[in-house]
Amino acid sequence: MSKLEDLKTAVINGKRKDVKTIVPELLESGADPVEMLEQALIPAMSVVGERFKKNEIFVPEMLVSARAMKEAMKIIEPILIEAGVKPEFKALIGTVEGDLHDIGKNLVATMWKGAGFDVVDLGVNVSPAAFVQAIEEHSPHLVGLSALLTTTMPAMRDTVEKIRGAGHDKVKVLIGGAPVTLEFAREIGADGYASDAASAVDAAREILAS
Amino acid sequence: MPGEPNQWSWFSAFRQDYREQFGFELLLADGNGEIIHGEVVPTDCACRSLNPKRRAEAARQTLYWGETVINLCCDEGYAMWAVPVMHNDEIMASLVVQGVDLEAGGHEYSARIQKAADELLARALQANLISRAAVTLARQRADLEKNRFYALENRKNFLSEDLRGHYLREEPALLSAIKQGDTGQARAILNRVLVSIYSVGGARMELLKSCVLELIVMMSRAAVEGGADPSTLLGANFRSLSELADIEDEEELAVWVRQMLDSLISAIGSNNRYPHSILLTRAISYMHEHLGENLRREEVARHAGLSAGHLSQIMLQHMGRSFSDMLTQMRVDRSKELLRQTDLTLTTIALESGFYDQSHLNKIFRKQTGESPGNYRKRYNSPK
Ligand code: B12
Repeated sequence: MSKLEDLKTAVINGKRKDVKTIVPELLESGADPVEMLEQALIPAMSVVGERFKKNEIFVPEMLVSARAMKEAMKIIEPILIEAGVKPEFKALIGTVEGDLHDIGKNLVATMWKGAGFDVVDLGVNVSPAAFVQAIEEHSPHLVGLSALLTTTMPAMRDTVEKIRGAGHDKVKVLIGGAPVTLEFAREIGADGYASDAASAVDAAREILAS
Repeated sequence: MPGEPNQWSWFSAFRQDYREQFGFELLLADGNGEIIHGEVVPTDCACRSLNPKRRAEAARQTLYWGETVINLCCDEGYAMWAVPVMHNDEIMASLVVQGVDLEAGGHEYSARIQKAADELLARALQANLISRAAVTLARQRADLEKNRFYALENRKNFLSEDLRGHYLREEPALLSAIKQGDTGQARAILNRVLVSIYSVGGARMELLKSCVLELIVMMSRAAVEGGADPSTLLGANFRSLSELADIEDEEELAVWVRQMLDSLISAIGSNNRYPHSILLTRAISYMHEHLGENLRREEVARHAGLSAGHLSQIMLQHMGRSFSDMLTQMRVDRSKELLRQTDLTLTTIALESGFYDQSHLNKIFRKQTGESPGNYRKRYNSPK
């Protein structure tokens, strides 16, 4: 089995300690961090999602997988950023109110950092008011909103409304998350939508250029 | 009971019971999450000084989803769950388990935690500490939301399904153009498909590549069905297929697509082992155009230049199904398309797809797909 496979298995099984040893080994052997994300870490979470859907695993196992994933990201992120250049844009990102899912959001944050954006991560369960406050504090070019629950998509709409309502018309809003679609983005007046972390970089550049 | 004097007197027996059964220590917290009874089990993590609001929030989450929501209580990998104690629809307090180590890991262990969490809610229900109506309602809503989630997720893959539909609609004409050696016409048809591919993929290279790949796969299948030798077809194109992964810009991709399509066109064109396929193609496209009418096998066969018996025979041989099965499948597919893409009434859709009436559509649709047309439409339209 390849080392990347080992990493994927470790995340699926929530073996944080294994992750801590495998990731540095992979990096040492010259593995590409983006490849690690795309070929081991993200596929691992898809497997976890599938298994959960089929009732093969329980929530506690998802929690440890999520943590193992974060551990890997913690090690990889600084390397991705080193490869990047001087910050081109400033971005805020957060998961909307009522929603605690942050794996996808973290991935997007990491890719943005890797692409040379200066990213402020507001965490999870971020209220519309907190987004507005953070915009006022950091004056970003871009705000990323994440929602993984159909029940928190309305919070996404509220957040966009609050941001526009507070007069921040210039800041671009990009949204994402498994249940979120392009149509929804249009409907709530967001500037864009991206389906995954890799296209989140292109999408951000695209809307910032327009 | 909550709301009465000595309202928490039941707690110590409840806690002891739970501890004996599951080995987890319960806390009783007030509406703001401040602890009223019980002590936090010391752990070597931050859960000890958990923000009280998190307890109240955890209980609210459980009520919201109608099932115990397990979450982390700190970054060290310790978990918590909580169930509200209610009085007349109002949350008075919560039953909380916190500081549960997850690192011990394993499927069995997780199952035990899950069971303990689920049982806390079940017991609270049994003891009338929480409104059964509220929980039932929440569960029903959560189920609906779950379906919505999957419908939305599906919708994202829909784009490529639309593409497939577009190609399949054009395929009969494409194949017959190729067979007749009309390469210009074949290119024109492929260009129409490519336009929809590029409008879906846009500047996103990976998406574009996967759509193009899908077109190649579908065409290869048609080539093989039309009699091309799979190993020759694959042999010639395998190297180029693996090159696709390395393509990084649009110009390169355009060149690649042209070469690939040209080689497929010639693979399909040069082979005459099954001249039937062209006749079959004509039959299928005639069926497509006349789906809404009362189509008879003889009529279709005549338009394809075949006898009725011969048509059935080659249809079975090439497509693995009888004329009437094929026709039914095409009608159900047409009705699905209309259900998804139009607001036409079921009666109109039934007629447009060639069913006698709505109840005929209902019956056949249900038999083929396991659900009613109305339900199918709802599933695709609700997330808007
Ligand atoms: C892991 C997980 C959890 C973990 C989260 C851990 C964590 N720290 O994030 C835990 C266990 C905590 C959890 C809890 C719950 N979950 Co959950 N969870 C999942 C699961 C399995 C995977 C999510 C994930 O991380 N995917 C991997 C990442 C990489 O993908 P992603 O998040 O989609 O992100 C990508 C894109 O969407 C995009 N993207 C994401 N955000 C953004 C933002 C921007 C700006 C952009 C551009 C792009 C973008 O890029 C990302 C990278 O490619 C999903 C199943 C699924 N199919 O999604 C269920 C799921 C989302 N959960 C669900 C539910 C119901 C719950 C709970 C209620 C369960 C419960 N009873 O306890 C709670 C709710 C807690 C809350 N209030 O938020 C349901 C949602 C149903 C619905 N109606 O919406 C799902 C679908 C599972 C199911 N089949 O029931 N969950």
